[in-house]
Amino acid sequence: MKQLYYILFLLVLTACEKRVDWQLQKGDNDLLVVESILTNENKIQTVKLTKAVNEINAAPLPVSGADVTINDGNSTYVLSEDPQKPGVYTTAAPLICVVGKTYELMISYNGENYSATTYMVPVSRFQPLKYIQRPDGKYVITQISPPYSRKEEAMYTVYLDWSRVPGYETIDKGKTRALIYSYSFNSLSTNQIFAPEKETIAFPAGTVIIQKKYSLTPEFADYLKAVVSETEWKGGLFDMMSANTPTNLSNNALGFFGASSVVSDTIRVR
Amino acid sequence: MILFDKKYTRYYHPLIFIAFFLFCSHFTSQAQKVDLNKKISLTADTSLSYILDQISRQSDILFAINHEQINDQQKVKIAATNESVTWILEKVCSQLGLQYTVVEKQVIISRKGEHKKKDLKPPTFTVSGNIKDKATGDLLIGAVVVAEELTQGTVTNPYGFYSITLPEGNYTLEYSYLGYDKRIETIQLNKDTGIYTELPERKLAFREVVVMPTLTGISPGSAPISFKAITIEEMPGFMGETEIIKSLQTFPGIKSHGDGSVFFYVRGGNKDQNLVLIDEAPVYNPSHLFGFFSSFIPEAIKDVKVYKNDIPLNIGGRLSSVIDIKTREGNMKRFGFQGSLGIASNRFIVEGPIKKDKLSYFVSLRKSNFGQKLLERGGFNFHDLNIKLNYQINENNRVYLSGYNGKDDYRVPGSETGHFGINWLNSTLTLRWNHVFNNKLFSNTTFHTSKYEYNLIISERNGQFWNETITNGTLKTDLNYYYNPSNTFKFGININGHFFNPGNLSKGFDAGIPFIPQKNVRQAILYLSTNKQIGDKLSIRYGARFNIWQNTGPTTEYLMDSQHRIEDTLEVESGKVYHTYRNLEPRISASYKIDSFSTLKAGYERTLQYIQLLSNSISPFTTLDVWVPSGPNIQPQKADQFSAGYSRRFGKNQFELSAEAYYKRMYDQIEFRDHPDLFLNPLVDQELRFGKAWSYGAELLLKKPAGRLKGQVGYSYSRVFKKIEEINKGKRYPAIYDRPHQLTFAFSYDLSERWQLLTNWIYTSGAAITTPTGFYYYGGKSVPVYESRNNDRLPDYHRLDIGAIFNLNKTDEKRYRHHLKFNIFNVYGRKNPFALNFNKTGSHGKIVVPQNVLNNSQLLNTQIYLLGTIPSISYNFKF
Repeated sequence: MKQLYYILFLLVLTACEKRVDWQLQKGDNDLLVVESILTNENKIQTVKLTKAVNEINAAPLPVSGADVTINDGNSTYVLSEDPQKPGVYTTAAPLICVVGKTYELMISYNGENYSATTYMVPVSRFQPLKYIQRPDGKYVITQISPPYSRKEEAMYTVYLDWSRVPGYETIDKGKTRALIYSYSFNSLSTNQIFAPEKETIAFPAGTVIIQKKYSLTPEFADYLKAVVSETEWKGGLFDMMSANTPTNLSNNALGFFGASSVVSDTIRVR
Repeated sequence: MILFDKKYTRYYHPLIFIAFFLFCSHFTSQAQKVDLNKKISLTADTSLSYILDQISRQSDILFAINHEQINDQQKVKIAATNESVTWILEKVCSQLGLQYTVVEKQVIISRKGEHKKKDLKPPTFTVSGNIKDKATGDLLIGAVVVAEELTQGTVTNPYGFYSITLPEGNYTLEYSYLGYDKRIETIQLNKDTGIYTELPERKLAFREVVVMPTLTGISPGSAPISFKAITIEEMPGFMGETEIIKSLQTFPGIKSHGDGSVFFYVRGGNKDQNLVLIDEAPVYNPSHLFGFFSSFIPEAIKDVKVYKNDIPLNIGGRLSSVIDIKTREGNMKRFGFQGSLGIASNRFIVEGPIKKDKLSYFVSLRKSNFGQKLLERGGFNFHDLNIKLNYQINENNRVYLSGYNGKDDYRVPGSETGHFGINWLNSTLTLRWNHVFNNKLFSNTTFHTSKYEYNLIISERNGQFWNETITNGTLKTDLNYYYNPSNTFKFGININGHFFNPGNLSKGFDAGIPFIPQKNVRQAILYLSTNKQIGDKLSIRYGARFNIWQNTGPTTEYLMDSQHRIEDTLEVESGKVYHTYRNLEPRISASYKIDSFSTLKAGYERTLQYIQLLSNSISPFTTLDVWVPSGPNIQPQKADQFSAGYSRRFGKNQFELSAEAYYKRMYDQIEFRDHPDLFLNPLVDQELRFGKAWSYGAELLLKKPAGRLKGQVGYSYSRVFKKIEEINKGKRYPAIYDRPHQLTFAFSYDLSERWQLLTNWIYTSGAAITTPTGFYYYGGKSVPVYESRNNDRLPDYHRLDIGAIFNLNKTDEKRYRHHLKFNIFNVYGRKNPFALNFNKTGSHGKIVVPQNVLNNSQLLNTQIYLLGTIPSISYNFKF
């Protein structure tokens, strides 16, 4: 009988979620979106420019023909649009960004000027992620990063690739690779603690995992926290008030121009 | 309009002025309504006594005569045809050397010239006492006492005491209370008299119609929503749990957050602006299971009063409403046991006399049905415990000791750290002493404590948890002085101490985790109010409440500048006062009795709130929100409410119609910057933004409180807006609880002597909600773009509940009474959403947040709702 009570309560307390047709109200979305993280990696640095969209799942519109420069106080780097990737602007050569410099982004597009400044803070080493094996033999990640860290806020990316694992070579690469983000912030939120269920990503033994840790300035951490609050943490039973994400860009542009020190580690699942 | 701004807080002139005005005002003369111009005919040659009796019969004028000085049997000759009473009295008095004077609605006959030597007023005497339930000895709150000859009356105060002062004479006193048989006492009032009466509960014969007592005009201002436990039990309940707080949503102007929520919003006030009192002690989170159930069981409740405005001055501390719950006192006559066995919980009540008519006890316990074994596997457990001792020392002294304890425990198993979970605890303790100094002066002295504790158990095995605590201790005295039937004074003093732990982690965590400074406050309140009857039709209640609020050490206070930056840090020693607020809450209300059945009412009141819930949640459930006090960075919230209304009884007094409109402005309202850090943030004050809110609305309520068909229909139209710095670009926006239309039906119908049918239907406009007007992409995530706050609305909320009570007793003869109660919650399975999401995708038949940003997952528009159709049954017994 008690089991019945338990089941009954689980049924009652488990909120039901269903798809619904919802007509969004119209807004002014003719807004420039900037996505860029300069790093200390020896690589071509990029700035991605798009426009906001009106509808859910609408493809982002690339912004072509913009003039993009980055100044580090000593030099100005002119970025040019990648002909293969509209809206993606790249430095002409690899650029290693460093702690101690301030980077200023200047964008000129359609007669409007946009700017942002950022800087980089150091990053410390990290503990490898944790994963466990499920009864079906596949693996799932249990923890990438501590959700709370008073000392150091950071963003983690985890790239998983099992496209070369025997038995998976012929499967569509879209189903044999994954990129996951995780974060450590210096504060906790109720909607983070009671975040909604996430998609499960299961991978086989032999999967190659590249884990990176990005340092975050307080401003960049605030921005990313708002982003995950509006995306990953949204939709649980203890939601917070919705609000726009902050930005360090001028002229009503969206997104963030950030800079991070990066450390990485590669492991193979055995 | 700020009547007592901070910069003027050193000056007490308004209080002194009001106090002086209150004390002096009762000496003002009052208009008398004795109509001496009325034309009557009277021809007689007989005794003065007979003549006066005849005049009285024809003109409804009452006469008073001192029989020791005037022989009322002396003969008088009079012949009057259609002459005024004045003319006749002149003739009579001139023959006998007498004179007449109009005093206190009576005509006093005295010897000529006597009034120059003596006070004109006839002697007055006071009838006082209390009114009890005959079966249990419970004091009845709000019972009516009316002197039929003068149509003057009073009601018992919250402690069952009444006092009415009348001129010397013979009176028929009628004692009445809804659901009880009337009692008539005939008295010759020539000295102060105590009448302690008991009313028997009415045993209603089937189809009997109850005629309501005429109460109109006895009390100025808006009547509170008032109901007894039996009223709540006649409503369908979720899973058979009849609810006090949730039943409030059937009244216009009180809106629930939604299914599964104990949050409610009153006249545009926020969820933390409602004060819930149990035996005068505050309860900060009156919910179980995150809000699916509210804390108090109806069997433990004697009386509930809900104030949306015109809040009595002895109560305060919240802007919008007060839910004043008085628990049962315990049967003074005989032992009683009752209970309810339901799906969600079982309830048991035991009561009885320890010493008959002197000392009684009452104990009630509700416990959820899930058990400790299940809890160990993860699950839910909650309980409510009420205890009360009631000692009547003598007719002038009564002492109560009551306590409430309610706890929730919710845990899920954790693999490495032991259980993870949440629990919260509300507990109160009240010691009350009612003392009657004399037949005009009554006092209630109370000491109460209250504690609310919320724990987030992070690792049960390691003893790691987050804890929030608020405790309160109060010593207060309320005095009621019944000066005369036209003037009653209420005054008192209240000393409070508060302690706040706004959320800290236990030991065993990283040393870098910040400590959130704990806060201490002491508060003193003085209040004074008067009820004043002016003539037969107009009554006024006015007064003021003066508050001193002092923040004290030990604590650390971070002082913010206008840009929300820290400008100074105070390290305050224990007991040292570092910030003080002084404020005044004036209130005035008036009612004008149009006739015996209808009344016009209007009022103004200022309310203040010094503690606030830091909650940016839009969830219907109780979460990790913390209470914090006003201090250097947080001004006390203030509200000014203006209201006016009309009420009428009709249909042989069986129906009551009331209409009320209000306008409320609220100052120093709290919101939060976008995406605030409210959890474990010692600088949480930096996250706050302040502004104003305003609400207005109109409410209609049609009640049929008795009869075979009982119930009410309510409708309200209301709006509430906010304007807060930095929020919504500084533009006004509707609050999330802005729900313009509300329509409610709640009825019970006695189908037969054994079957009673119950139903309620609730409709409200959808809550305001913020939805995206666009999206942008960052790091593979679809990030919403919002044009403005609360730009959209959830679908309208509506729900039908039905129920039935089947009496298992065929007759009323047996002492063991039992019945079954059947409920169906949300009969037509309305899916009332409380959230809309635009960030999830379908994966293996589930709706989840996408993780793999390489997938370009197609996002869905989704809505979350709770509670489909839920049937339930409970077995209830009593003996």
